Amino acid sequence: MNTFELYFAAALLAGTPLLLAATGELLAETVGLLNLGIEGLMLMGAVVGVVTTLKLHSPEMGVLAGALAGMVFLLIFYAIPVVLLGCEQVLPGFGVWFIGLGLSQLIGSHYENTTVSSRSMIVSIPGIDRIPVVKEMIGSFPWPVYLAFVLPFGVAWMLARTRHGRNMRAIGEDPVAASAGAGIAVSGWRTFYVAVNGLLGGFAGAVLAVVAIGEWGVDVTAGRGFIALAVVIFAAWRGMRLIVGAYIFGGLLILADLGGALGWPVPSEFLALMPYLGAVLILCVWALQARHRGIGAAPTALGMSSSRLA
Amino acid sequence: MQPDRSVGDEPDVPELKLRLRDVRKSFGPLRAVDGVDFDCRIGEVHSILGENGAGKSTLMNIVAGVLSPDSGEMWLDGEPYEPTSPKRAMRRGVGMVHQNYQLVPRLSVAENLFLGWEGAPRVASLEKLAAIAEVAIEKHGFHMKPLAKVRELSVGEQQRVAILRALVRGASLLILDEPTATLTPQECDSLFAIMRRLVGDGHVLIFITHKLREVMAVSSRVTVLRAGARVATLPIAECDERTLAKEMLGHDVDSPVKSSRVRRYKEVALSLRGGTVVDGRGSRVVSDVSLELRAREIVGIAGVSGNGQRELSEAAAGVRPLRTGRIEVGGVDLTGRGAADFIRAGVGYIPEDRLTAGMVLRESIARNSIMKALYLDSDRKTLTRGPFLKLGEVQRFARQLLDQGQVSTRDPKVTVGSLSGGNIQRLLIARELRAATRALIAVHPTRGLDVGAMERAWRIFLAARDAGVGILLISEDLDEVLTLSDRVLVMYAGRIVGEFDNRESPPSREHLGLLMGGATAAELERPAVGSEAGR
Repeated sequence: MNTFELYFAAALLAGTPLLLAATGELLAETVGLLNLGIEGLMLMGAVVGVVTTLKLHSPEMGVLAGALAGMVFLLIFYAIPVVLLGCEQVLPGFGVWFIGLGLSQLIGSHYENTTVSSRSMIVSIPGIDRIPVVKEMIGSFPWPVYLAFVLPFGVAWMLARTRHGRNMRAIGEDPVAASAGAGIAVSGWRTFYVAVNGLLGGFAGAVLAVVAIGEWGVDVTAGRGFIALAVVIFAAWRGMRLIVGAYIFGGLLILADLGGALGWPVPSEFLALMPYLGAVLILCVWALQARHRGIGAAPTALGMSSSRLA
Repeated sequence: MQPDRSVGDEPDVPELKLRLRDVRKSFGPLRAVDGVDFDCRIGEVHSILGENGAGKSTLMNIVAGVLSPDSGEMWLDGEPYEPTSPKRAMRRGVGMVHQNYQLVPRLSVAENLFLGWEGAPRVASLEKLAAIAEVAIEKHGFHMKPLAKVRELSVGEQQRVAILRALVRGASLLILDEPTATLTPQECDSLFAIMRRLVGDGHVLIFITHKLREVMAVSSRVTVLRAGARVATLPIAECDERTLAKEMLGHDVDSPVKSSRVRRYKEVALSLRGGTVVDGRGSRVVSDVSLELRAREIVGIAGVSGNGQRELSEAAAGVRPLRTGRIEVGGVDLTGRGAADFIRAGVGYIPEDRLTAGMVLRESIARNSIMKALYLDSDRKTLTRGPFLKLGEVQRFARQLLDQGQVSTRDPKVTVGSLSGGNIQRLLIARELRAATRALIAVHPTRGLDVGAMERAWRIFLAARDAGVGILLISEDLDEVLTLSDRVLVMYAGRIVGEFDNRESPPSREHLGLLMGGATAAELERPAVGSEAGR
């Protein structure tokens, strides 16, 4: 196994939590909800995932519990203020972040730096052993990696081809028209997609802690929730591009490890900065592109308060 | 409450489509609908006529399931009818086309037709959806491209999409809420043609409007509402515009506003040469417009909204810079100067969006009243001492404006946001007229006012003109433009496409309408111009 194969496989693993969280965020943003608190959501999923894994000795139960915890958490702290009470969306998003940050530390205080194993979750693609190089790069991973890869295809298909997806886009474009003109029960749909966003975000955090890192630590996400937001923008709100964006950022996230291993003459702090610097640069390039070609516009009603809805 | 089918103050008439008895709806202390009885027969276009706030839309929103009544009973097709949502109403065949069609602009016609409807296919490519839409479009005799984005359509075309959306869902009773408000005369005609055809196909139409001419043109019966109550239901053959106006207003109509002929002054109030203006996204929306507004004349600019009027008015008031061209007020070059210089030069401005650009809703009437006066040296002297406001003088100044505008409150300390839309508009007109010593830029100045207040505003504008102010009147309402203007310009796609002397040879509404719709002078020369099929 050479360095490139190793790096590629590691980038896929590092990109997986980003991809899961970004997929959930994309669905919520499609119905007009800008959840800025994915970071806190992922932390909740991470801590519940690790604690459950330790208690039940089952990483499968761990990631499942993390996902459910994320769903409940987001329904309480985001769906209630934003969908039910019609608040604006920015502060509840930051609320989710801060509450997640604090609550996860409280829950995880006795479980720091206790490693968990997710070896039982590893599956191999049947028949891939016979293909050299490729088998090292993509042949054998914990199943959430494959799940995360497949999910955006389904999301892209749903948004482009189905009645359900078209209704979602209508809600994000113009919730008043969707409700008054087309008779769509906007609040119900939005609540549902807050739940989905919570489920995927919590799952992403649990996968990060249980599978990719293998332990809980304070602020284990280190800004990945915000990178997931950048991935959604990079993807121009289209499902398939999420995959590319998430793995690019995954690669940037582990650049410091690679540099250290190969003894690059670059300060590791600078390499560790790359995903965040990359996020800023990509967003700048994207903004210029969008202005020139008019592509990838956000849902028109994204982030708009729903209190105008009757 | 369970309606009892056997009880009613009239015997059940079989051809009754919709029957309302004693329907009531209050918003706080306001009785928006106050015990209305209403019958709508199969095979009719039934107009609902009333001033703003008479309860027309509230009543019909109850029928369409948008609002639920406080009390009262409804029957549809002889069966009790209690819709709890627009969707439920739709299932019984009741569809409403709202004033702002409620379409999603960035989606295609086909997608908009089928949004949120259980009858739409669960999985379909856009092409397949378009094919299904095509069938529906032809079945109902419309002409539209199913793959066109709604935002690329004209207002009239968007309206047809909204109507077709209701028909696709199986509406047999179709409610149209002020459907003609933003249409050109030709688009109105083609809407009326569609309405007649739908009635011929067995649909029942309820047509909400406050325009008498339209009631006479298209309906078979009319119900007049005033202050939430029904005052009359009449067959159209038995009424004329004058009796309807009397029923609607509750008193005899004033003699109509007539502009007396005055000689305009030589002095130019405001002139624009080769003006080009770009909008917020950088696209050119006003192209090479030149106009000269003399003192003591009203120049009306007719046109469908969105053809550059907003940006032209902003440029004329100094709140949006010119990309190229030159603007003068009273002979002084103000090109490149800001709004403050325009105010000092004596330009008043009634913006299209008065609630955000005209007034600060959270501030008091007093504060809002003096906003422009503080730029004028004479007023500033009375209102301030050094850096401080003389609060007593400010109150006095505000009370003056409240009097002039006949605003319902006398208290300058309350916030502007607590006033009704009509009162805000009257206060704004009073403030701007005071500031407008040379020119007034008035955009849709009477939109939202009821008939009485509108005519009062018209008289005030005419008086201001007679006193020597030049008024640039930008309006979609052809009645307003033709009543007030000395000269009429037509704006289309950012250019002035026609100019008429409204005193010597007034243009016909049809002619103006065609120009507003984008017909070129060459097209107008040809005898037959299709207006029926819709442009």
